[in-house]
Amino acid sequence: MRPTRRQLLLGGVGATALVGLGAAGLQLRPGVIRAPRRPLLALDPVAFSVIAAVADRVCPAVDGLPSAWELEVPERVDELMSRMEPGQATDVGRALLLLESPLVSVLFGGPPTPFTRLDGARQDAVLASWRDGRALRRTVWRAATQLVKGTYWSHPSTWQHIGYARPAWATP
Amino acid sequence: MIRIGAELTGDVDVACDVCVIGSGAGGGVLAAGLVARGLSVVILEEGGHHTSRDFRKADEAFSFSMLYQDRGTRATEDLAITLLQGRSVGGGTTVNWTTCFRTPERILEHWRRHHGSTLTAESLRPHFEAVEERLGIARWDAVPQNANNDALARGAAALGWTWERTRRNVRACANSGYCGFGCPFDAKQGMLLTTLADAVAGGADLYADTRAERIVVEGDRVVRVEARVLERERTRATGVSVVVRPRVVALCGGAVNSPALLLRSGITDGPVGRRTMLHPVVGMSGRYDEPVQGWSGAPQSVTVHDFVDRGPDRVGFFLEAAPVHPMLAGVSLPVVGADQAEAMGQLGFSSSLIAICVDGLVPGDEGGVVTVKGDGRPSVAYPFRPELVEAFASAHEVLAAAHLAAGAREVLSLHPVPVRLTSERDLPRLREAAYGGLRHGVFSAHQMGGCTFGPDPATSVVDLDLRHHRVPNLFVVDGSVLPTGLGVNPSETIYGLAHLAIDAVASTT
Ligand SMILES: Cc1cc2nc3c(=O)[nH]c(=O)nc-3n(C[C@H](O)[C@H](O)[C@H](O)COP(=O)(O)OP(=O)(O)OC[C@H]3O[C@@H](n4cnc5c(N)ncnc54)[C@H](O)[C@@H]3O)c2cc1C
Ligand code: SF4
Repeated sequence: MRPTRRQLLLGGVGATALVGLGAAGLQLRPGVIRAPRRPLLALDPVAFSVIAAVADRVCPAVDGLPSAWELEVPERVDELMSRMEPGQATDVGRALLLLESPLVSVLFGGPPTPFTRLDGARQDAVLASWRDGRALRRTVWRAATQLVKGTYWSHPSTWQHIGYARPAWATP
Repeated sequence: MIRIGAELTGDVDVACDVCVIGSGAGGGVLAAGLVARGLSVVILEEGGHHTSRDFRKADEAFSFSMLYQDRGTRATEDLAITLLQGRSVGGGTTVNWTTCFRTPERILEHWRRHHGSTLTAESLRPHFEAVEERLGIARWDAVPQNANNDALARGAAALGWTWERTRRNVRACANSGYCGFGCPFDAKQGMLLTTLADAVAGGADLYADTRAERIVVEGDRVVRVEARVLERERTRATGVSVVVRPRVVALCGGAVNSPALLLRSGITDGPVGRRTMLHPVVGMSGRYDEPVQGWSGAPQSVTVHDFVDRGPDRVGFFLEAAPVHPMLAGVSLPVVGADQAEAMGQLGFSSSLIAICVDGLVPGDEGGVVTVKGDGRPSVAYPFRPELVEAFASAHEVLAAAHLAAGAREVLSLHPVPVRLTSERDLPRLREAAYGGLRHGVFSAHQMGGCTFGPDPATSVVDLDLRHHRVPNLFVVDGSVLPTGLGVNPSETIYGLAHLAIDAVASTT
């Protein structure tokens, strides 16, 4: 079964099967659950933990920048998701489940391990393979990384690195 | 009067002459015109009512979450194209970058030849003149272009292309660069400050945070519009309903949402949702020795149209600059980790130039398709035709050449592993890169089509008066009626068409 992105995203039979496979895989081999620092509003604990793991790799503490975890990026993504239509949060949750599932990973030629259980270097390799994979995996890569990046760089603590500042006329 | 969701605690049931659904470019101009004719108008807007007090926060996350569709995350179904689209009182005109053009004659001619249109520059002239007057649309040379736009001007001049200063809908623009956040200085002459203010002053009732869920047709007439009040912070129904019983409905929800509402309402006649055009945008970033700070200064003040007509079988494109504040930049640069930190560290020295591709013109280009999901949300599928992919590749070369001619020390594409160029000799390398959906960043701030106009009910949704072919008291007056991309930024075309539609809508009441 090589599901297409259309099947996944338009909620076809293939999508249901793949998400079911993803969930089954996680029952056999659960991932690492990260504890949020405030109650979750939209994401479930698995999706939150995947976002947190992706955020660690996508926005690490390099060049004097704070880490995504320090800036509470996973919690802020959860908050953003809670503002959206409920169905949108469900779509994102599905995408994150696929990235996490060891069975889906094997299906796509990856390691038989939940994403959150991999070490950093192997997580980077998995992310790169989803980024460069066929269309469905690229879609999931975008869903996972763009939310993190937008949330991270909108945080004022990252702006000194850019040379950006809130203008003098701005009010809190 | 403007009523916001938080104040609406009991169900509302109102009658009026015209119910305008959506308060953006089309809805604003139309509502003001109808009120000026003495008609009673109710405007429904699903987004919130925000003013320059809110915009002075200068908070990108706040603005995207409050002023854009899907909290700033709207995209095509496969996430290949990021769709920037407005969602607040004023619609796209509250957050747009203020660049204004009349519809080009080439496009009007194409519509006459291929889409049964009768529009001419002359028939549209009085309408453009009226909106230009009200919205202060004029060539903007108040101050020199910012460094981001100047890179385009310098590059174009060095390469022998023609560049022009843009016309903008502003009055006393403070040159801040925050147009995309909502104008903090009340300089942008969007609908919020102009036509909607006129309409409300003239007696219109505007319900913000209120989404039209269904247009109810009995026989061949709309009898009511059913709407729900939404929580502003979270996109959830408060439980309060608004029912409007108008003589006429003008659907002005914009491309994507207008066809979606027709589909949700079972008004599926004709090609609803089809011919959805996006003016797909690709960009390249040029790194300069001097600071650019493209977030500061009017976002778009220079435009180049040398490549907009590349012959009948090729997709043309036009060039402009994009103002990238950190959040939009972070999302647009597909790199991650240390590469991303490096790229963002260079943002202040980077100019972002974009090529806006003109879809819907080459034979067989039908654009994308809007459908609705089970929960009523719109879904946009957009195929990447070979002609468009070729245009992306050509546009990359053109943008890179412009940057290099302007003095960039390095030019980077928006591929996940960027193509990097340091001289003209590197340009052929761009031909080796992959182009198309999910291969590199693609954006759209110009959604059009989905309820296209035309004389034939089989190939269009509304007639040349913008009246629905089957339901005579239903009009569609927004960017969704445009049958092709325009080759220019679309707002003024929509203002002009909405002004033109005032007569037909008013005479139907
Ligand atoms: C960031 C950005 C920059 C841009 N820059 C430029 C530019 O410089 N020049 C230019 O010409 N164009 C620009 N545009 C595009 C331009 O603003 C739009 O093309 C134009 O506003 C579209 O007009 P419209 O009437 O079709 O829809 P909109 O202006 O989008 O208005 C539609 C409104 O209807 C509301 N709505 C939708 N569905 C419902 C419903 N069911 N119930 C109630 N309300 C509903 C929406 O919330 C929205 O407020 C830009 C757009 C963006 C997002
Ligand atoms: S550039 Fe001008 S129109 Fe845009 S936000 Fe600043 S003051 Fe307003």
